[in-house]
Amino acid sequence: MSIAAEHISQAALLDMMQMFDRQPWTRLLNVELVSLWSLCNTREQQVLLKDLILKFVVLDSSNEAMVCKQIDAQFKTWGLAPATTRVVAVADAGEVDGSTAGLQKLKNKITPFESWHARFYPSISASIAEISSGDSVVMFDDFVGTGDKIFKKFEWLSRIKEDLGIDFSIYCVSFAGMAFGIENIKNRCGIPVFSSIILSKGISEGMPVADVPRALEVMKEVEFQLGSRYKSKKIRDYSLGYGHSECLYFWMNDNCPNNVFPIFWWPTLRGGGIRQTLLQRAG
Amino acid sequence: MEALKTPIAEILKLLLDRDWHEVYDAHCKYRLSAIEIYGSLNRLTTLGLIEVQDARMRISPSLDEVGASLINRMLKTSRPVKLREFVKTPRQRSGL
Repeated sequence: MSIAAEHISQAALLDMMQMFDRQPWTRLLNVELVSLWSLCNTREQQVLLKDLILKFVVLDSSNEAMVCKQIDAQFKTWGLAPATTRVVAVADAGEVDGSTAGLQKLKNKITPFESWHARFYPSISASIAEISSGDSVVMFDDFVGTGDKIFKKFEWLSRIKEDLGIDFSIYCVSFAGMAFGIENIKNRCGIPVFSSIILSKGISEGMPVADVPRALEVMKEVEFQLGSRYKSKKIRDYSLGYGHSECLYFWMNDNCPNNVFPIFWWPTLRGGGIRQTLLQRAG
Repeated sequence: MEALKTPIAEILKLLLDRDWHEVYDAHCKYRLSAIEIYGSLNRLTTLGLIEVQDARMRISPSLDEVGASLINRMLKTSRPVKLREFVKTPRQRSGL
């Protein structure tokens, strides 16, 4: 391995310096950025990736504090009381994911936390025995993508209501979510939903309308460089992000949502080989 | 600062003629990485030792004696700490 940096073009160098300046999290990713820029066949592709990276929303520690404070305020607005409320992560039983990690962050932020901290549950199944008629159940996820997962959990809770003959109100809360996913939940479940950070699609809703078709085409050109499969996943299911979410968001030091453009996290290359990705996603 | 000492010295060497230079020259001539160049320029501009405009850089035209002294210090290389054990101290050299 050489100690000299890999040679890059002048435009690429200036791109990177701009990203380091406006997105401090990229400063630890010099090598990964060089690798990503090398994957591009045209300057147009590099410019698109730079524009998207500059638009990323990152849940860092200061944003974490802000979203928890806003959720606390929303609980007060909804009039939720600790004695009759269960805050439930939407993780599958026995699994650890962003919802359980987020719940731990939230645990000492809902005030007064001495009364609230015992009202948090790692999964729906862990909370069932505790729910009574007249209670409120708050489904929590750290990030809402398409909203499909929340809908499935809502259906499950609705079945519990019927099967056990108890009546309780259901709410949904998240740190961040795609605007279309949040609308999806509201329309399909008809429940109050609160997301502290609301995200629009990176290309379709983030660029002048006239530029969108070309930008989507360019992104698909870059995605063409990615391996068609990774374990049991197929890249075609994640093109532009799962559910065509075009997401530009991640929680610092946490698992990147599969709704993010795969060019930033898909680990395999067309023709074989593993790439150094900007973001990491396990599972 | 320590990790950036060499990149800073390389950039300063490039700028000693007091002309404008492309930032990119630091990459081409010394193969410094984008992050090394970014970090070095940030520190040098914060100290008021250089100015950067439109991807070009030069020694600050308003550099005073303190600035010149700082640049002089930054251009000097230091012996890596791990080599200290191989070098006699002045006391050892004098045999005391």
